[in-house]
Order: sequence, then C-alpha cells, then structure tokens
Amino acid sequence: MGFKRITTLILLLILGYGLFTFLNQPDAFNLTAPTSDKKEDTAISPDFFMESPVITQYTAQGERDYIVVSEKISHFPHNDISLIDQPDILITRKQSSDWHTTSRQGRILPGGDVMELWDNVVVREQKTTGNPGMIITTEFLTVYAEQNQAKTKRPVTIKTVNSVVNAVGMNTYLDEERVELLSNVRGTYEVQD
Amino acid sequence: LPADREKPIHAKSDSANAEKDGIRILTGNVVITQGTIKITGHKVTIYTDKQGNINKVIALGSPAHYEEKPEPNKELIRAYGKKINYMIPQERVEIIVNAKLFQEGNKFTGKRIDYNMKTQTVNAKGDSSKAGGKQRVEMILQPTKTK
Repeated sequence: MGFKRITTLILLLILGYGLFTFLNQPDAFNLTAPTSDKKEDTAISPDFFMESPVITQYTAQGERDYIVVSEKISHFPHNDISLIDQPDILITRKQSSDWHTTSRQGRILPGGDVMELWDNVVVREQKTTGNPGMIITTEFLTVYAEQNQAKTKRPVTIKTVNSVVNAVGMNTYLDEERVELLSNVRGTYEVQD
Repeated sequence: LPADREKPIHAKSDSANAEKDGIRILTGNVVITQGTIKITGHKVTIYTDKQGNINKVIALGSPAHYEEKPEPNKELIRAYGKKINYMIPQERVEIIVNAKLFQEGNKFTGKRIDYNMKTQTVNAKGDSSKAGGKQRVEMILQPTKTK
C-alpha cells in the first residue's frame, strides 16, 4: 500500500475519531468535575473576558465576603461557565479565620455560587490571632461560597505548626473552622519539649 | 521508654474531624503510636494546648488498648479498658471501666487503673465495698524470678 494511501487512511481515521468524540461530547451543562485536566473546549469563544480582574463580593450587611483576583476570567455563553486563570481567593470572616485559596486553574459554575479549583490547590488559614493557621493542599477543590464550605474527594495534605495529616477526601466548614477527613487518615504530630 | 515522650506521635484512622479549638476526633480502626507506645480504639480524641502541642489522648474501644516498653530489658506493659486516657505532661495512663493491666507477668484488674509511666507504678481502684460494689481490685502476682 503506497505511502499516499497510508496517509489518506490515517487522515480518515483521525477525522473519524474526531467526529466520534465530538458526537459523544458529555452534556454541555454537565456539572461533574473534569476528571482529567483536559482543557475546556475553548474553540467556542467567550462572550466576555477580563484580564487581571479583582472581584469583590459584599454581604447584605455591607461587609466584605470574598475577593477573587485572577490573571484572566473568561465567560462562555454556551454553558454559562467562567474559566479562571490562576485564581487567588480571599474569604474574609469577622469572628473566625480568613481563608486564602490559590490554584493554577479554576472555573465558576452556572449561578456563580460554586467554584471548582484544580492544579496545585493551596488553602491557607489566616487566624485572627496572627498565629500560623493550617495549610491544606490538594489537586481539586470545590468551593461553595454561599455555604462557606469547601469539599474534595481527592487526596489532601493538612499541615499545622507541628503536625502533618494526609487523607483521602475532605469537607471543610469554614465558619465552624472544622475539617472533616473522609478516609485513609495518616497523621504525624511533633512533640515540643 | 522514657525517650518515647520526645518522639513524634503518628496517627492512623478511617476518618477524622479537626475541630476549631485544636481537638481532633479520629474514628474507625484508630492506631496512635509514639516510640514504643501504642494506643488503639474505635474512637480517639486528641487534645492540644494553645501552642498546638498534644497534651491528652483519649481512646474509646471495646476494649481500647495501650501498650508500652517501659525499659529495653522489660516486657511490654499492656492495658485494656473501655476508656484509656493518656495524659502526656503528667506521664500517666488512666484505664477506666473493666480495666486490665499486665506488667512483667503480673495482672491487675479493677474498675480503674492508673499507671505512672515515670515510676512504672500501678494504682488500682475497685468499687467501694460500702456501696455494695461488685468489682474489687484483683491482683495476680507471679512468683518473683529470684526465688
């Protein structure tokens, strides 16, 4: 079979595979987390984007609720999802710690209340006392701004001043400053003399 | 061993809850180790002081279990009870309800046993007989090896 015919055959296969995957694209409004780190289909262009934005959300009482800083935010009309490049989120609370969360990628789901962060997610607790708080790292995190909660099913590492805890799966209740580790918990606590 | 107290504390469990005031509740197949010290239970609560140092470990189990090698040439101390309190700064272990403790072949049972890790001494309490308590302290001592 000549070289030309092989290349044509390969071309057909690629096109066929491309068509197959396009037809089998998951439902565009599917809110499930991206299981792999595949890029959102940016072939469909955003209807608006902001470069180096700072978004501040206030509470009904006029207090600052959270601030989102990013390299770029792009909103896609076909699924009402906003992609965030290098999100940097500061959730501020009067009575309890502030929570400072960063990651390389993120997206805001339709409705704007749920944010998914992935790729080197780091959550830093900033205690009101100024003492160093806990640092949580994981590869994927869903932040529920309204309920002040953050959840993941992925492995997490939690570091405090003298302890390191690893687990799989975590629910964080920011207002209660409570962290629930769901399985496979392994902790090491240093002893001060 | 005396050096155990300087060793880091390792904890394993099925799940855990870290509360606001530094309390950590571990549940499901919990194993805590610190040097030769080992504590197991189905629910273990770890308390820390303001600086974040662990000062108390409370294990609940059916039974909860504590063991430690008091000295290199001595046998493991083994204790069992419904509740075991490991009081770190006081270097004391409290075994509460259906308490059993084995030390160098001797066996102690009672309602509550306190083991002093520094002096390796055992205080055991039974039900006060005046109150018609049924569980007295029981000690079974092995003949000392020198005889």
